Amino acid sequence: MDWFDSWALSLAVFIPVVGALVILAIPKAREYQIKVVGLVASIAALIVGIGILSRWNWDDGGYQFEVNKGWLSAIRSNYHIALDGISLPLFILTLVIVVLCIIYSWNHWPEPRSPKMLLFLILLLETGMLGTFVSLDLILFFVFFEVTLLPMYFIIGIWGGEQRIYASIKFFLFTLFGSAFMLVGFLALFFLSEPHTFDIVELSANGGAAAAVISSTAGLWIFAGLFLGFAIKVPMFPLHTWLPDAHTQAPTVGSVILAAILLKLGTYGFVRIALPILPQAAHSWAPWIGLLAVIGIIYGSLCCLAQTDLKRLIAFSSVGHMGFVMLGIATLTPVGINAAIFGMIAHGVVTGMLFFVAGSIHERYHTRDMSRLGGMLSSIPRMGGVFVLVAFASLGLPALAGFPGEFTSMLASFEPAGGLSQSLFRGFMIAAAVGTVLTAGYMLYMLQRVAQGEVPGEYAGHHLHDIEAPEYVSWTPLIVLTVALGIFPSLVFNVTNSSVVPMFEQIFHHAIGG
Amino acid sequence: MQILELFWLLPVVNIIACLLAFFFGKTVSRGKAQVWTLPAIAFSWVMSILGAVAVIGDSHLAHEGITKTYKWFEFGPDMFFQMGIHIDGFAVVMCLVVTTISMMVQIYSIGYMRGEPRYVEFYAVLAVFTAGMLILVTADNLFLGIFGWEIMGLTSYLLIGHYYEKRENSNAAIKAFITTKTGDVGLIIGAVVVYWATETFNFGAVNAKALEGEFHAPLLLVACIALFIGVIGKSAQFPLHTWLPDAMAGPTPVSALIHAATMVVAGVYLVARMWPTFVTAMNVHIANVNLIALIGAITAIIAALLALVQFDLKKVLAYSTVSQLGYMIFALGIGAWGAGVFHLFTHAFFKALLFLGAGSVIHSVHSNDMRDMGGLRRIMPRTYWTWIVGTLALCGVFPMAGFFSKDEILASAYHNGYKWVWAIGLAVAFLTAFYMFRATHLTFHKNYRGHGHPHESEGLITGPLIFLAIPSAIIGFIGAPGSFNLFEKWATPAAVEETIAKYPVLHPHPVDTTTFVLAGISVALALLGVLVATVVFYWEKTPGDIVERVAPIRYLHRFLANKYFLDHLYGGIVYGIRKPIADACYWFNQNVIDQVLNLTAAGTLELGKGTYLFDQNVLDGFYNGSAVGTDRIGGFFRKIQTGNIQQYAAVFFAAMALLALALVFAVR
Repeated sequence: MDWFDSWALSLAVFIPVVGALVILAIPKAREYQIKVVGLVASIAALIVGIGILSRWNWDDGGYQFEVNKGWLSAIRSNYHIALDGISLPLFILTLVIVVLCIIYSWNHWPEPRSPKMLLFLILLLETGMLGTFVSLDLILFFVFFEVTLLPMYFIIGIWGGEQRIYASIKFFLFTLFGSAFMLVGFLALFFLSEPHTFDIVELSANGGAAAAVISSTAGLWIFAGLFLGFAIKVPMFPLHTWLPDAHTQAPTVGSVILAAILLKLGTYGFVRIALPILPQAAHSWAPWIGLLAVIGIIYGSLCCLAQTDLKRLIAFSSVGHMGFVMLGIATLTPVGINAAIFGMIAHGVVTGMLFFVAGSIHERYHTRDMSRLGGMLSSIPRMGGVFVLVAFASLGLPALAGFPGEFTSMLASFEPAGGLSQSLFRGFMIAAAVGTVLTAGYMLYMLQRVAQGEVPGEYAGHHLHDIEAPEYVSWTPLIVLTVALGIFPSLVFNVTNSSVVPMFEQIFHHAIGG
Repeated sequence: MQILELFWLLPVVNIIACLLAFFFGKTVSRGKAQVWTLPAIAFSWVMSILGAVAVIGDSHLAHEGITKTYKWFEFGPDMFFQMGIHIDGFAVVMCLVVTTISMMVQIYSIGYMRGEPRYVEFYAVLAVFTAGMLILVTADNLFLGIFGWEIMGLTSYLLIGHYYEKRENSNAAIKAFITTKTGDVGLIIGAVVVYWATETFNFGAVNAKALEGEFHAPLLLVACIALFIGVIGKSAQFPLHTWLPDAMAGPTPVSALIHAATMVVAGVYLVARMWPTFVTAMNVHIANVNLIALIGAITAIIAALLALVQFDLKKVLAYSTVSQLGYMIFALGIGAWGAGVFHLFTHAFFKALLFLGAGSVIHSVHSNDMRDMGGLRRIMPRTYWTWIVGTLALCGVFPMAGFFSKDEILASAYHNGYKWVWAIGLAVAFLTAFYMFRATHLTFHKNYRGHGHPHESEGLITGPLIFLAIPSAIIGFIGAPGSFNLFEKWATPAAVEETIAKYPVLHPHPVDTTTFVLAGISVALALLGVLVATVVFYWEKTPGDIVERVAPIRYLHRFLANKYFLDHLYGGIVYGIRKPIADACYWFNQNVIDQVLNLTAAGTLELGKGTYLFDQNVLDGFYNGSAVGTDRIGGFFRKIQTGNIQQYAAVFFAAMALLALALVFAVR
């Protein structure tokens, strides 16, 4: 199976784009064939992913399925890809989410109806996302990172709501703005490292430490550039304002992919690139990152309380939840990073699911205005029940997916990495804990408006469909994951911890001296 | 194979029962969801009985218990989380309480909830609630305990909001969840502090470290105060008690199970389980005032006063529950572990009995308001006599169960140097008898004032009442003071015994004349309460308008009728401020942050326009020598409107490349 070990990642990353090209070749009228090709391509990629899981060495915290070939020799950029315990969960989540999105869309095509274009864009997007998670070369990473941008821009801009143009441009410009600074950071890393390299492993303090020669001042500036690029994607307060618009306007599958995967590109960037390459700068910036993270938690939750639009509420909730992820990262401890990756997966599953349900609600009621919704538990009880379950997962109820990440993130911030102010981070922990109450507040407020109460008069006579077949198929895996991750956090922690611990032992013990 | 090692099955079978009821309740069992959940709870009950037999037969087992763990997840060899059970006499007692009351409530609900909406879901949620409580009481560590604790919070929310069509019910559900969640901030912080101070969540290990002084003292105090805030929320202690009376919006069986006998004692259980830690942190053995005793005593008295002015039968019982929870908490706070836990045990039976009895009445007269009742003694004899047993037990009249537990608490307060707590406890004993007999007279005596024709409830409802009346009447004897106290012998964990042995103040007091005098005083006060209530509400010897005529009583009445204005305070301040702050945040988001960025974008846009105009008009114009028509400018603006991104991208990247070069050369 040697060929599999060297080809698996490339296959998984590029099968979707091949599928996308095949779709382009099929005439628009043959819709069924288009759908089948899209589904087959995404499932084929997922099967490769399952193959990777089956051959994964669970005890090895290093890179697996590694490929390192020359690519752009002129700028010493290589086709260097691999997975480790940090990227594997995100990689698999991406494969799963895309399949589920395509299944969900089977009979739910947003207007203007064009399965061909939408599937083409989704598959292109999948390649971009998967590529980002496997890249170990800064230029390769940047290319994939940017590849995700255009499809999402078109998905929002073409199939979005009334203000889709505004939302899509805002999304594009914000991300582009961040990417530009990120690219500056990458270039600076290349020119200042010794030897000049774009290779993440060589640059990392635990690998070649080629970035060790960078002066601390330059490191601070470069980190700031990377921070802008990643923080906008997360998004962190106060760079988050593109998110509510993008989410509110995007079609359902767009919102799901955006929430479940695209936001994680930012947090993943911190864990994969910013921290290991510039540990000292990270150490200097950590208190500020932590501060912005807890502001995001409190502030995002407060904004949720003021919402009347269901999707906008869920969008703002992402600001709060990603705050917990960033708080975990800011502690610069193995527990914190584990918490962050768990938080990313949990948020992907739970918020992705929330957007799915919100989309189905919109489709049935033709409104997202919570003052006009209500009584879902009575009129469509199954969907109402799923909604309640997922809302409780989102508010961090133990035994559901949201809790382990939040709790371990708070656990980590009680004892941040050596040299960081303990009292400051303990204050962050208390603020974050208060944030959980606010989170509960807006989630229950949302349930009261949407799931509980009487069925509003305007829908009383209508027959609303409860969960339908494509919804069952696409939601069941996420619901199972929501419960399974909550009861068995080791599903993620065992994988991540094996890579996080060695990474930390080397970076922070060597670079900062404990 | 030791029976106690199988106790992990207790929560598991109830969870399975919940899933079966949920998925097959409507189809396979045609709506009779109890066929799935009753076998599970009956199994758990039998297991608990067998467990009790095992610990009664083996005192070593009762003290030390057995532990079974498995590694849950880990962050390296010295930082791991375990899922495990620790079953000792105390845990068995708790399992017995939980399964007995759950089983009775499930039988009772077959009759009580018949024909109600969402019957299947009701049973499924009851089963998972029971599982949550069983997780908490069997857990060997705080982290797993939090799981059970929060699962109960969810089910409490769902059941209070069972009739969610009415906005006030869903409001009550939200209030209950958010108030307890506010307390949970303390619980979570406390758990984190406990972890870092002792490097474990294991109850036994934490207690041992606290006793041996290995728990860093300032952190110990912080941890205990934080955990106690969680207790205040969950066990409805002052000042977070206001959710419990509102929680009566749920169906009455739910009030009996969750909001009287089990979930609300979760906080008491936590303090009792971690008692050695709390005693050490709060200096219970030295001081004669501490946070736990203070909060418990305040809660006991203020809730008892509130119960005086209620006309809703369930609310009388709700405030009574708050008051009795205060009793349990201050018992633990004055160092009377055995008495406090024994009161938890007896209270569960007679308070569940009273709630179920109230449910029987409400089911029959279709009203919660005692002014619509009266004279039900003759119409509902079984409900009446079981109610009387429960009432006498709650009032602490010899030889009912409540007498032994309550008297033991008061005697311990007296002996352990907490004389002020003893005085408050006596006052509460008087008030308890007063409000309970007020309720009894209004509900069962005199003539019927309501509408329709009430009748005795069916056997499925009165059966559990009779079943629960038996322990309410006689179970107190197992906790009789002195060497007769079998309960403490079976239920006291080794760590608690060590604590008591370590601090002389906490040693059991002797049974002598003082004991009988103290018991006499508390019983006399209870009887006085009965007498006063009878004079006022049965013989009606006081002028009826005394409340209106005498100003101090009028003000007091208003003060109590408005629940000390606490709800107004919370409503006005907490909820009132939420909206403005949330709105302000959102306004800030839309009008400040977003505007700054929009303006920056607009500025960049203008810059781009300028550049482009320069390019098109000046450069291009120069080259072409041609004037620019207005239509071209118009076309340009249309392009801007629809998002001509490439230009910005190009300009941006050019600028960034320059910046990169500048950075590289500057810092080189």
